[in-house]
Amino acid sequence: MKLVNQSSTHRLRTGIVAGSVAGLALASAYLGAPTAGAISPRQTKPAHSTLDRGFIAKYCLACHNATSASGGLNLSNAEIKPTDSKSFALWVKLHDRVLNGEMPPKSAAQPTPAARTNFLANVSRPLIAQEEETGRREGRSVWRRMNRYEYENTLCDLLDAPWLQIKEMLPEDGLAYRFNKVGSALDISYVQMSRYLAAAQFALNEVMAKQVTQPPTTTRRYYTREQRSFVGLAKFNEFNGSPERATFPIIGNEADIPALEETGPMTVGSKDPVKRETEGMGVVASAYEPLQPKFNQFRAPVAGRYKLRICAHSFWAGPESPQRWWHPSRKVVSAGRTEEPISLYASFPPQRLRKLGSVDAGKEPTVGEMEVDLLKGESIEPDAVRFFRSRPPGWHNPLAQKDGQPGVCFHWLEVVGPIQESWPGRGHKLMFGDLALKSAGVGKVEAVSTDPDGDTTRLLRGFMQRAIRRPILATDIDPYVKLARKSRDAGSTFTESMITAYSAVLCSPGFVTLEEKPGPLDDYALASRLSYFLWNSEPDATLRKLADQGALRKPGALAAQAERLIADKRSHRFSDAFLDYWLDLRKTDNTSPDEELYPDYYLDDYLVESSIDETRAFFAELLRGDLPSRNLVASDFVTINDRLATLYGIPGVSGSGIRRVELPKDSVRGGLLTQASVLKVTANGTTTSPVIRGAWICERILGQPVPPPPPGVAAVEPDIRGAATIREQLAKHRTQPTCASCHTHIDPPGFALENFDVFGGWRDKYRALGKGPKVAGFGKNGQPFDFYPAQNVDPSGELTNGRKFEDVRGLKRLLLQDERQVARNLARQLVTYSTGAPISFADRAKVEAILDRTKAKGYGVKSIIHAIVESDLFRSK
Amino acid sequence: MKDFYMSNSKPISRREVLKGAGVLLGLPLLDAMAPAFARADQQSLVPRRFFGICNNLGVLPDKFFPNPAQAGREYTLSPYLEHLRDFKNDLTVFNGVTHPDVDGGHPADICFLTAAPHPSSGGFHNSISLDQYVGERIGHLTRFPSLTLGVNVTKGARSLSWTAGGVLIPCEDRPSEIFKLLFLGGSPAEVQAQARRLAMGQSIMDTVADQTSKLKRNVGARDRERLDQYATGVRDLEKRMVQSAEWEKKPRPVVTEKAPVDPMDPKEYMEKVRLMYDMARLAFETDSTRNITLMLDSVNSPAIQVEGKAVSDGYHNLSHHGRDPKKLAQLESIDREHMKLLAGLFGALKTHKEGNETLLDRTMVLYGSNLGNANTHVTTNLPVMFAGGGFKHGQHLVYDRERNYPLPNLFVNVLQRFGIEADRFASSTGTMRGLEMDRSA
Repeated sequence: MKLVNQSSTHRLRTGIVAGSVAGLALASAYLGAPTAGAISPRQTKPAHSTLDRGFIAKYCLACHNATSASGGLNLSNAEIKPTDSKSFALWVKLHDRVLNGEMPPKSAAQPTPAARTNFLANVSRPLIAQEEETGRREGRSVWRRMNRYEYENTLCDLLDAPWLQIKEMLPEDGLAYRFNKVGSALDISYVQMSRYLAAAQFALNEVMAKQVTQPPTTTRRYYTREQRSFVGLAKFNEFNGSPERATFPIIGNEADIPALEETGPMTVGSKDPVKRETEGMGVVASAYEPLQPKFNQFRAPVAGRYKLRICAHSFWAGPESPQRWWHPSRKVVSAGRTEEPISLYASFPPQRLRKLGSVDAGKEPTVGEMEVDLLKGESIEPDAVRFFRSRPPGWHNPLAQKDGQPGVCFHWLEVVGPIQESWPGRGHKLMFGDLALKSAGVGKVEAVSTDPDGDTTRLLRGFMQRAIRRPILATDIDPYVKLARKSRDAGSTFTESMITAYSAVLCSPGFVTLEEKPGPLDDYALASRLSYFLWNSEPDATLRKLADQGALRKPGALAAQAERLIADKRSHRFSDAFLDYWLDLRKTDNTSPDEELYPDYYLDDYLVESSIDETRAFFAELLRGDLPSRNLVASDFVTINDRLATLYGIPGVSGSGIRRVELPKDSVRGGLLTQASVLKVTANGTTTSPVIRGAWICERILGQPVPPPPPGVAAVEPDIRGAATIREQLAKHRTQPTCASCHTHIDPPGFALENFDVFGGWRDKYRALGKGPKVAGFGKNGQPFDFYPAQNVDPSGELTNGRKFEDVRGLKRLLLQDERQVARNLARQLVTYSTGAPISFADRAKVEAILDRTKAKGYGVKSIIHAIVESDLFRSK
Repeated sequence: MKDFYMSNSKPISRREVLKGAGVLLGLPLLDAMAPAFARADQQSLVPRRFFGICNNLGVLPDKFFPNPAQAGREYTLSPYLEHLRDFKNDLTVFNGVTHPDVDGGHPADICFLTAAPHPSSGGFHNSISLDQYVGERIGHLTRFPSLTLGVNVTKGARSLSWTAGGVLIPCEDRPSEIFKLLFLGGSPAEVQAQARRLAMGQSIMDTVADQTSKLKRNVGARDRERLDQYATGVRDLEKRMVQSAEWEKKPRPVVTEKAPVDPMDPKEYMEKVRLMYDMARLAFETDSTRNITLMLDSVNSPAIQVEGKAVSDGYHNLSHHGRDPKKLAQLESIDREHMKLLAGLFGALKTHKEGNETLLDRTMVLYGSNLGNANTHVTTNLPVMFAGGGFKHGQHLVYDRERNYPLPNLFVNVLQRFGIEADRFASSTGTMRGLEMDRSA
């Protein structure tokens, strides 16, 4: 009892309203953060305190009285003041501790279940009444602006320009309750406004036609032998005399010695098309400074859609000599032995690289194809991603064998594009209709208007009807018409004046903010709520039409639309954004694996990208298949490619594409906890901490908030010299009672994940630097391993309820004993994400109703989404 | 000419945004603007400046760094720092710092003021640079929000200045053009276009503000608070545009210096550096801008001229000296010339008085490199010194040379010295341990 009190004292003192961390054992502990601060006494009636004082006298006052006030709490004259946010929070906390059976303490006399229930109901009533009253008056959510994901998607859809990339132009959004969807955290400042303006003007200018006539759609092959970039890298120079950092002229499966030694031409060119097809340029290293070959002759002439076809095959580079077998010879080339993943990047000078996709090169020339959106001026950089990246000094290819090393020979890139459904594009037409175009210099056109006043009004009406997500009146258009006229009067062209007016529309609150009125949402607000939930973007024409007809609120209509939106490919925007925040997937690459401890992961972009793809594909699989929520903790399949299969030790998976792979029975993988992305995001690149990972499981998977450590307590720094395990260090930490009260809850699930290193690779022993028997091998950076296997990992643990587990498999089984809690957490995260408001005390019952509705489906992920959409939480502000 | 609101960006915390809006009132101002900001107290009227310089080949570390065992104020100047003896108490030398996760050798120079991770890896996207972040917040207080300069840069390929959207801001590499820009003004067409842009920006914001007030009717208290914030953001931006537009109506400052003649040959690297330092000083003296970056693209430089010394090899080639004594000697003469030029810059800034202080006291000069050792391309243990600007200098701050200390922390010091209430920049973890503002300044 004493321990618990001390802990609660520190939590009370530090003002944290978090609930009990004992929830791991008592999964019914879920709590609502009260809408503190929202409660204005001026506007509310005094609430009646209906406290069961007999209960308090009997079970509480022995400790929580005026003299001892255990835990800083004196209940002798207790009163619930629901309009006071502090009092509200205190009573929610008290409610939860009694509900969870933490109070009265086990050592004291216990109330009957009926007495407990009655007491809780009496505490709940005024709290719920207060929240419902605020809800009626103001709504659960607060008026908010779009976040930067939404602003980008909305502009892409509005202007029919999927290639627009403006997210990075906007400031990072504030978070509340973990998401960038909550009004109170989505601030506006002059910086935000100036960024909106810049982004809007940029987008409008980019979308406008760039020339008077339609740019031709062409098909052209760019042969590597004709690319300055590939050819230049074939020559040694004062900065490079090493074949790993050079390109290999190859013909068929042989070295092209004349080309290499410059005794013959670099290419036969178009004279001999058959031979030309067999020419290529090989690499044995992944693209990295200074080896970054690209198809420099191609630069996207305009932004838009292009089809890329790349032809490549794998080869084998023989050793330079038996003594220095790890050095490749550019003169000894033979047939390939491997299939190699290749990523294509869009590159923009000097150094911006955007991944477009991956293909696989087989032993025979293979053509990989993808359709992509390119920005004007981007060229294409291929990368044989499995290969190493040579970092000085004196590198050694980790893939080298005594008889050589794998290579990839690139033949050509074929580009078809720009692919245009219509020209000018729909975005241009939205801005300028069918007005004639005239040239205004290189790469610039102007729309010609013979009736500027008439055209301005007509075009602005069309634009605003589309951009503003509810009906507009003539008077709504007037200020923008005036603005355009003012611009023309000041000397702007008609085109400039329209862009000025459109920019203003795209900065206006009618566009930037999502308007919702207290009470049940009207059809337009409902259409927006649904589309910003499942597409993270504006409602499409179908949703708009249904809203116009007032049909969205009819029974079944919203469900049918939710189903349609989920089935549409745009729903990836929802899952990507949701995962980015729920699981912090956006931070996967925030820390890099330590160069010395984890050289096998260091610089491995392919692993980072694959791990993010895995988690996205996994969630998509649950969503599409309406699979039960328990899969979040444990699934009998994974969604992986070759790189992850290697990391996880799963045989028989080749190729870069992510696909569903069934797991052998008793595999440690399956579920979110053991995915590389999650294990990386919960580590710091050098070490792992059971505290951080344990807290992560409590918060993200079980929905049990963990209070922050008391101020002034230093984090335990894992020892990378192999002297003590993190567990031994934590054991010391946990002998202090004040620490133990929380850490006995937080740490155990983290212990189970100790079997996974900083990138999710399996380990039985910790790696350490310093003196010890080094592991043989070379890193992705070509440097020798310098670590040694140190102490054994102990993944076992015991939850607070006394249930023990041997390792992560056991932990998963224990967590799934209460799968409703896993589903509850998912539902709560989704409600917060989709409505922009946290689960309040009064909302708890509504979440339970959502769970009841989906129980028969095993709390299927899609079922939960449907139940949310049907709920009052979603349909009211 | 830059349109100030074209500066775009990444991460600023919610707190920063909030405070950013408020900080407007607490910023240094020119007399002409003071009435509009009558609430600003005298203390905050001190103009602060920043000059960030990156030499992308760095310097020989052995000759640059003082003995790591001598941390603090009692340290012996290194051979290179001997050239800066007169300014020992005006500068701080950092030992054991890096930009976390900014690896990849040469390409890291474009991250010197952004600290964006992994510039050589797939998916790299640069982020806003320190100067642009500052310019976005206080740029309206001077004629130019920032200046981006370069020596021997491959145009369009290297720069220290990056917009929030990760777009390179090209370097101006002709001193005469900078002089023209500062003191003679752009072409009438340019001036007009800029004036019109700003006027339209104001009109846009004015229209948006009206729409916001309309919405504010009939909403609950919590919603109104959000819309009020929206309206304030809009009006603040409008005010700043008005102030920026005012500049074109004001006469350019008059200086006695003559327009410089541009050295044309890339070999005249050192003369170019000297002229760039001179232009920066003039820009600060006349308060034309408070924010300058200079990329010294040594990688792109040939065998350069150093007064009284024979340099036979290309600068980049020399940097891969492989401990060849002949190359080392040449490299050392180049490095020492850099130090002499810096001494010239510091001296000139110190000579000029502004109020009761020297210009150096109000100008933060950051000099350093993205390479810790060009011979091996390492991006750790970066040679960095920080001079002037009103800090307690005179120190050799030594951090862990094995596990380096984050240099972006220094950027937070810079922001705070400007009066911008930021508490992070890129991968910073706080402010620079051991570096304090000089409160008396």
